[in-house]
Amino acid sequence: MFNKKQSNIENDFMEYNVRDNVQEKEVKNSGGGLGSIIQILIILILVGVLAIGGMFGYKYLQNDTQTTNVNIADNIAPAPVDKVEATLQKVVSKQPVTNENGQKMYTQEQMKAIVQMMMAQMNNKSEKEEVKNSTQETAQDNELISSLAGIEVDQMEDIVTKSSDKADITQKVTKNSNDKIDRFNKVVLKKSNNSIDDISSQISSAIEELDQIKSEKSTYTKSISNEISTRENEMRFIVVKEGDSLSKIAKRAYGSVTAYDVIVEANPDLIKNPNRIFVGQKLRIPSVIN
Amino acid sequence: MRILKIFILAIATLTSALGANENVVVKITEDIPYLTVMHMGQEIKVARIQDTNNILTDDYTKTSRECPPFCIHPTKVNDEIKTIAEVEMAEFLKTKVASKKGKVIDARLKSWYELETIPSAVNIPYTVIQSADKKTAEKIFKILGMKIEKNGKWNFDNAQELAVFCNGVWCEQSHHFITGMLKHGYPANKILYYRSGFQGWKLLGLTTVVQKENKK
Repeated sequence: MFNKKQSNIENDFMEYNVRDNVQEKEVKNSGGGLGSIIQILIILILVGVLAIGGMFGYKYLQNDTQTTNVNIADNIAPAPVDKVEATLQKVVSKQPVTNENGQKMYTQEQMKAIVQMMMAQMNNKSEKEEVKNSTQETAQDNELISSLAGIEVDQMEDIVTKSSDKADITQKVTKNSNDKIDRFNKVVLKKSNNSIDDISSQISSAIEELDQIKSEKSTYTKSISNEISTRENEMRFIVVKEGDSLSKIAKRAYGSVTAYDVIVEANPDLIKNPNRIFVGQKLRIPSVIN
Repeated sequence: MRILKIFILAIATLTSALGANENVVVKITEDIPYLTVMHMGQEIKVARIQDTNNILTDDYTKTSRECPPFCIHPTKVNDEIKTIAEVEMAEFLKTKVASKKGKVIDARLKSWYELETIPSAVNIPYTVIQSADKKTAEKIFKILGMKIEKNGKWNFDNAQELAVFCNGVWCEQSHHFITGMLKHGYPANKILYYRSGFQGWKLLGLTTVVQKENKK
């Protein structure tokens, strides 16, 4: 009786872990002759290989849109779950005894451990989902609050830091973000003295010579020149996303992590402490460093 | 059985389509996920911003400038010059620029060019051409591949094809550049006008290059 129960729980546990593969199993079982089974297997392998490629693409797309607030996540789903799991794993990993019917037999202690582990995993999974939902809402709310009203965001969860003394928090925050996605899509050119594109360098040196000769400006040129200075001083805004830090934004906007103080200067009312910026916060990013 | 096989094959095809093209979700065109061009000796990958939630928060979102001088311009510069859009521009980069038969010309003033430009673009401010005498024109045309024959005739057979742009539909710097080029005899069939210009480029989230040296 007890053995039967044990095997049931074990089966449930296995099923829980391999739930994703169930469909695959069914496909295999429904195969007719040996030839068609092999055919299907080959196709399945093909699908698997291609799916990996597809997954990468999917991840690439998804990474930036996930807004998991790490601090909140830590509060709701505390780390001890993992610890419990780890200790339980040790107990379970002891080889179970096999009885005469070929069924695995566990000690009572192991049984208890398995059940606890299952419970922990299930709880963990559902909590994670909850956290994701709640934090997405939080991020959206934050964005709304700061963009609509420009209200002080003192009460907001501080999840983005820059300073090295809080490096651990920065690491947590950046864990889920994807740096490959560049919202500015600007390439700041490296200064190189040689190997410059032939036509480009020839033209620019030819023009430089000419510039010294003539300096007269037409009315059109004069009128559009004002637009350049406007353009140069024009402020642009960015909304702080999860994983951002001032130095990261500075790196993207100006190509230098040390240029963050330009952003601090441009946002005197918002950034009281340069080490703390908030998701959803709107920051002025000057186009040009003076 | 047969239906099952077809079904699996269909999934396989779909998945392969997803995984292809180095996971570029936002492609330039269906066939061109991204491009690679050289800009001042540096290899630049030209792609669109991959974040599908991205919106422009940048300077090229400005809707209104005084007209004149910032008036909306007609499709054509003149009857001889072909006007192109982004797809032709992508093709131009892929074929002409890559084979060194064509150049993208940023006709704007130098400060604009240095602030931000299209990868691989060469800056010839319209003012240079507008005020150029024959000697200056000859110098620039020679750099662009024009040959001078023994009888002194200018031969443009191997001259570069130019795709000219400025700030966009409200900008006439390209017009001044093209008019200047034609005045000095550059063949009209070697000049293309990219009307959407830099604003169009930015609007599609395409890669740009920034030259202005960081002072920090």
